[in-house]
Amino acid sequence: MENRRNKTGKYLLAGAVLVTAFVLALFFGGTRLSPGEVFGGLFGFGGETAGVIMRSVRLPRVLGCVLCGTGLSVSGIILQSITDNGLAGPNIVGVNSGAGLGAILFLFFFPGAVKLMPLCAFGGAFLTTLGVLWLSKRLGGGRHSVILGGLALNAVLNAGISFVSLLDGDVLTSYNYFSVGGLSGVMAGELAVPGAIIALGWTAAFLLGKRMTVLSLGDGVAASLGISVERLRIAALLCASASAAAVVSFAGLLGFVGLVVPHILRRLFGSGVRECVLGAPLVGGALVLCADLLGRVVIAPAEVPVGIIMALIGAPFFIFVLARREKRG
Amino acid sequence: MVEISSLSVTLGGKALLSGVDMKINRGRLNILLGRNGSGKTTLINCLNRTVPYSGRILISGKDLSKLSPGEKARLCAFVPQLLPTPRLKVGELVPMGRTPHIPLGKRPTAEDISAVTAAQERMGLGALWHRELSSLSGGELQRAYLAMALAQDTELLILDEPTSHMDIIAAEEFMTLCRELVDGSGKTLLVTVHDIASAVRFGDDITVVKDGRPVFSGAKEACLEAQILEKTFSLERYTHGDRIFFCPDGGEGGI
Repeated sequence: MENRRNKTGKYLLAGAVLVTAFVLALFFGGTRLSPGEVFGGLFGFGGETAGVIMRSVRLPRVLGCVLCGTGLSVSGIILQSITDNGLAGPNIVGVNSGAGLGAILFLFFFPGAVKLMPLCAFGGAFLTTLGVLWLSKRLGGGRHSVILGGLALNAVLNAGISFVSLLDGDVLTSYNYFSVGGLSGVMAGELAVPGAIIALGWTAAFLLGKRMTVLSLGDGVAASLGISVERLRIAALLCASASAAAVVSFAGLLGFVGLVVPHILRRLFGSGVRECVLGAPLVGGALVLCADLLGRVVIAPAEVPVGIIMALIGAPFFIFVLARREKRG
Repeated sequence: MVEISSLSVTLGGKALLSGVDMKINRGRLNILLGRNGSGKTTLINCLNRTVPYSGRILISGKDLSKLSPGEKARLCAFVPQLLPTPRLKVGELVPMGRTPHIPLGKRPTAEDISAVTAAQERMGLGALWHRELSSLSGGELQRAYLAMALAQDTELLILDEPTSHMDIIAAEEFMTLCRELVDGSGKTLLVTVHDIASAVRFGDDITVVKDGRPVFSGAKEACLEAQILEKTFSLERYTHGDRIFFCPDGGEGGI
């Protein structure tokens, strides 16, 4: 009982942090607005400039941050759980490189139709997932085969990206911002479909969460507990990839969120997948919001893309996790 | 309880089990004895349906190959030889035994909570409840997994070499616990062991497997009378009080 009360308190605290970050992200940015202008812009009774800034720029961006944090965190939680590897993330299973190749190929063949690039990125990520599934089955179908298949495809896809970017320097320029990951210029209309996919992915992960935790006991024990191991692994991988691919479609190849946030969630809420998925929008959303806000204000009016901020936070964290594993192992 | 007929397993061109016929009797402690590589674990894996097999396995009259994963999990629980230690606590592991009884998306019922509490008490896990699995000793980890299997509330429990990583005292305590589960709770246990003395002391029925085939399957008394163990493993039998011991006969025997 005390444990449950403790956990509820942590969820509430994480929620409070998210709401605080949300409000701060609305109030602060490259352009200074007074509190009155912020409220007026949001609810339609302020000036036109404030209205454009709030409703067309900041609000979609802030919502994008929450969706980004949720989608990548859910993806990371699932992948780290089904592979039983704390270093797994959307980049490991080739989602990022698949999306990147889809995007750069589109830019190469249709340089004018930049608006359709996110769709191609999503398609590339999803096709890569199917490739990883096929490859992992060929490699034995166990949890380590997912990582091995992902690493193998990653290498091939990254080589493809490098090759295409060598052929056309303009493509490389357009691809660079996409590859760093950022939410500048994201519009409300762009978030509807990815938002729906991320919401569906979160729901599926929540429902399957307990069974995914059972997978961490190994295929033999999971099978003895009535789990259809292969089916669950496929469903989990598709869910993880769809969530990450949806984020890639509007935020580019934003790294480290899927790696860092699951560790924070396990620290706070334990190792159960369901408990971590419940906290994903709160902690993941708050982290991306804070990183994006920092990027907007630190050298205002210029911006540091959130992908760079996340890399500056994530890389030392990654080293810390590696060092801790070495110490334990 | 379990009827196995003409069970065969071939993997990588090698016959691991050939034409196995045996029965696991209800309410008994069934021991599966054999040397390393004799096919014990393969037989266990057939019951857990993690290896493809030919032949027929009936559990409580139902064909194992036709059961859904959930139906199978409500009939028999399985504790493997190598116990994984993911980042979980004992208090998170044991309730997983209720997975086959809780539909997707549903919360545990009072019956589920009661089964978990009963398993916790039966295995004496109170002090270990909040410990990480990776911090437990071999014997403690085995008890935690057995508690999970008990929470699964099946009639048949299958334990694959549960005492292989235990010292002699812990192994004795564990087998005593298995004996109590059969005598007190009416469970049916199938346990694979290496220690023949332990098998003879605690078991009711013994199946001896050699080179992928059972050379004997029946009551312990019949096994001892026919000197199956001595003949199969080239052993000599000694008695001390009411205890029976086996030692290699000085030739190529021994398990």
